[in-house]
Amino acid sequence: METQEKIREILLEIREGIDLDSDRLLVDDGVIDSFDVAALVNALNEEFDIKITLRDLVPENFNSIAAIAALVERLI
Amino acid sequence: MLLTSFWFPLFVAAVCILYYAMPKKWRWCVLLAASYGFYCTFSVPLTGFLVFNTVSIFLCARKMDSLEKKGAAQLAALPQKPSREEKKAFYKRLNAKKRAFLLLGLFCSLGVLIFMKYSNFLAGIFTGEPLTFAWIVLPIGLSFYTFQSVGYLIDVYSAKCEADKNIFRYALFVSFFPQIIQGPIGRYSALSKTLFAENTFHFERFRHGILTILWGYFKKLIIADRLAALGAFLSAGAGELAGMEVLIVALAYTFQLYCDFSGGIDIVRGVAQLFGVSLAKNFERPFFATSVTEFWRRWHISLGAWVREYVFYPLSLSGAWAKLTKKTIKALGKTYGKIVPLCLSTIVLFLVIGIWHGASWNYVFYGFANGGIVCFGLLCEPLFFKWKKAWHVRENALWFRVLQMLRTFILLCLVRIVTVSPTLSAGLGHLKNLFSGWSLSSFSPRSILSTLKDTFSFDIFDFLNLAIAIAGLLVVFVVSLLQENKKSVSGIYCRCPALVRWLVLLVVVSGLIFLAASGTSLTGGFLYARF
Repeated sequence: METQEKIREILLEIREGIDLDSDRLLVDDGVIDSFDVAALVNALNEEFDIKITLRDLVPENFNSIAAIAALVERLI
Repeated sequence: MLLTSFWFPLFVAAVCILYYAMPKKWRWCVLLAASYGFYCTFSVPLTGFLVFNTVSIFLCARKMDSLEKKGAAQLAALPQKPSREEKKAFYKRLNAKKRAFLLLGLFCSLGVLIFMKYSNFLAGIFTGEPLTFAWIVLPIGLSFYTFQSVGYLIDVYSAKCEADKNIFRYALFVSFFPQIIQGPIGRYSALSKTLFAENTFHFERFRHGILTILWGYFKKLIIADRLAALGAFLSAGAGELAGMEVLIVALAYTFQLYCDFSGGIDIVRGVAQLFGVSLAKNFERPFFATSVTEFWRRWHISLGAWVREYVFYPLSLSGAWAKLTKKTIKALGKTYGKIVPLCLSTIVLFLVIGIWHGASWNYVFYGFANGGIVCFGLLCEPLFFKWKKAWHVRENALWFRVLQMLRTFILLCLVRIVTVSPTLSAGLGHLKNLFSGWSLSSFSPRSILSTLKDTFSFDIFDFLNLAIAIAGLLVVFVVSLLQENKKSVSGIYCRCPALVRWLVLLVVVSGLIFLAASGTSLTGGFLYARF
């Protein structure tokens, strides 16, 4: 849960006013775009000291806070 | 063989019969033979480039794949589970070996593209005067199939997909005949699922394919070709235009390009559907975009996705960019320090998109202009957010969305005026002239009619052609509006009684034949086929 909270904070920092509580998928439904994904990956790498590679850059890994947290926890 | 030629539907019909007559296992072989046969109708010698691209990329991908598999086997055979550091070092060595074949493959494919498409332009930059290698003939679809095969090579390198073991299957992936001329640029992981599947005849899918093809011909033959004469005033750079004249040709060219390219893609996707093959979407009603960023998610989607995947992300997530971000955060603070490196990758992304279209300064401008607009939006986003909050502007309010759509449309029209002109200076001249020669009466119907008559030498047939094109655009607008509201137009059509369906089909097909036969002399090739 702590990881999810941190990811939520990062997302809100990247895009102010973003609606993270709806059922919409973050990437597939266009809530965040490629610029946000790039900024998010850099922020996650820095925050959690991980290395997200191009292999991990698939929409399924970024469609929800839970999916991002699962990716981060896998790489820690 | 042009997609709009009389022979093309006959060719597709013959391939269809052969395809479904063949045992399921060998159906893809019919598509391979048809694809090479189709390509040879343009030029037999230039098919050599396609073969070279196919063989070189296939071999490099196979080598990378076998290195990856051998590496994984070696790792699994170790008596003790390797530590994280040991694993890291192992993959570093493995990737270095794989990278050598990646670079070789890139050299073979991009090298040919750069030499064939950009050597004159590059020689002009370095020597100060444009050289002309008159013997260079650009193989049709070169940019499309090169990007498609490079995407495959990088996917195999980063282990996103396995290399195909059969060179003939891979050859079909690169040369699939409906898409080789103007895309969409497909990804192996998606396209291979249906391209090599043992597809059976499916009536609903077949009917949907036919409807998609008809819709494509409607956009191409009824709208695009009828606007071509007006649009040519921009692209051919004929005459000095000002004010309303520039506006008319800019609008005509914008809609011509959209209907030409998206119409061509509809034909291509429809033909693929006849064989049960699903091609990537390339358009999603781009003029409904509320920003330039969104426009590029709706226009030439497969190219945008390619550049994002293979240029933007690798650059934005590279170590060098991470270092740069740290420096810019130090210098500019957290908010803007993070945005500036992203802006740089955005400019690179749009420069690649621009230069992919052609070797000229116009397309360099195109890249900088699109990238500049997107970066401006990124940098000003915090300000826009505050502004919207202060003025209680609801993001989803219809009036606000319409305003955003208009702004996006106007901005892109302005960029296009410069891009399609024969030279950069002519384009900038057109752009300057757009803001001169206006008067209050410029918008009166009489003034517009006399402009068409005097400046563009319109006769009664030209007026008739324009009226048909405008009526066609209205149909496209209504269909787009329905689709934008998640209503399936083909679904509505299929729910109609059989008599109505056949009647509509009869009217559309006979209308297409009649109107296309009486079309302008510019009827013919697609604008994007030249890229």
